[in-house]
Amino acid sequence: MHKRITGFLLSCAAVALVLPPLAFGQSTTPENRPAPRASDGKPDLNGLWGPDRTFIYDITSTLKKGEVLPLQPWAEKVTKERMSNSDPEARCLPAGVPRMAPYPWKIVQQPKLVVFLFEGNIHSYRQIFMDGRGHPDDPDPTWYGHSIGKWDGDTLVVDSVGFNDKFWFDFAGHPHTEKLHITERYRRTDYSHLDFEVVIDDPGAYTKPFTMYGHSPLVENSEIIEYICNENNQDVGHIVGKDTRK
Amino acid sequence: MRSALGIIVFVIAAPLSAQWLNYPTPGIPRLPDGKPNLAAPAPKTADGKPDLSGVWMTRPGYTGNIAKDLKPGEVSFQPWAETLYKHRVETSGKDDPQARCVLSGVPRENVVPYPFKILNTNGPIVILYEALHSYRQIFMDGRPLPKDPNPTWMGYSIGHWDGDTLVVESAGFVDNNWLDNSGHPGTEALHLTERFRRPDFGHIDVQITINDPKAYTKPWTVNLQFTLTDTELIEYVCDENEKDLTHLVGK
Repeated sequence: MHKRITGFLLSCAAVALVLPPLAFGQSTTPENRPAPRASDGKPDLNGLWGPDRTFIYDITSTLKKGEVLPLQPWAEKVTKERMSNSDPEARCLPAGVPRMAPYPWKIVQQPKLVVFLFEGNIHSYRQIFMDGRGHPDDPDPTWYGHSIGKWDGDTLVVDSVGFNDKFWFDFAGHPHTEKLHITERYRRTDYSHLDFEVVIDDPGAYTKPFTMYGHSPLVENSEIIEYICNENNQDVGHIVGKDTRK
Repeated sequence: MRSALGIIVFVIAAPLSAQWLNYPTPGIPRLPDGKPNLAAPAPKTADGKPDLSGVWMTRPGYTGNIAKDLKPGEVSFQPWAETLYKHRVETSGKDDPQARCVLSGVPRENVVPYPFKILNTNGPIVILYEALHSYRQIFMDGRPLPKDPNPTWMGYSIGHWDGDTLVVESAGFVDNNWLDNSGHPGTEALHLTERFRRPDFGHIDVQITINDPKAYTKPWTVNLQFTLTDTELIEYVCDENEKDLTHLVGK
């Protein structure tokens, strides 16, 4: 469907060739090492994390087995009509939340601010304010929204509003509206694993809230590289818009 | 020309985003009228090093020409670089990669008219830029610069403390770099040394030495100053509704 998928497979192959033990999800760290703690006693989520591929292609695969996306009729229609060549991500726009790209991302955790640094699709970041502030009353709609976080025991809980309605949740084109409210819960279950649950509450596009389940492996001995989507973007001309699901 | 456009965008964007920006930064010492006390002592981290964290803006005036304070001859071009620089100036920067939403890169991010946030973490120092919603990492763990880095716009940066001064060495830059809007060239041979010092709460003095023997016959140094701002970064997405490019027609 997308050249980027081929690119992803190729890049995986390249990573596997160059760094055999370090490819996503193949950490050599013993599975049962406990999650480290930050100096303030909170779980330390700092690190480079691999993508969860189910958050790339079709979010239906992030649901619990047997569940279906509670799409409103218009949202179902839009998903079917959307052509991959209209995906804003193919034009170097941010992927939004909680969509992932097939590239690692880094958590930079401080007591009052948590930052996600993204390698791709664009070299960008997201801020999660941990200083107790609330959401603005009338936020400007943005690609990454306005995020505030707090700790619930060992779980980082992130509450986000203020999204624009432009980004797609996945390659499949699942939509949302500016009413989108996202609650993310991140837990580092052991040294090398980060589990997350994402509750999507968007009464504008879905008939009820639904929960996406994600898993990211720690990527050790590696670093974010510089992904510049706008430099020599070869994808967009190859994305011709044929919907392979029809 | 581009800087003028940039400033217009900046001025228009500010009131629209007031909802975001109207959040006084916690922890800033304040004067009786509530304004930040920029002359208060600079903060320190738990390990006693100066804490550079905060949201900063560069003193305006350097976006167009990072070398504007230098005397003639201090920027001593190699002949080909001088020809290229003149071409970039004469064509009003129409080939500027930043106009195509490619990162401004380093050191140009230090002179753009948008704020940026410095994070003093236990790991790398991270700088979040409002401009093009990008970021840069400065590794503080004692690693060396890579011997043969992939050329990038941000380069590869390592830092250490020299007393109260953060010294950052960077290399691994792209070959078609623009150091400012007028297009001072930078090449893959560029080695950058930045010295950051926070003399009081409200200011960081920055000395940048550009050593690029492929483009210049000798290194040259510029001095900039960052001022603390009581605001928050807003989301700058260059690819969204980009209007500049078609207006950059060159001469």
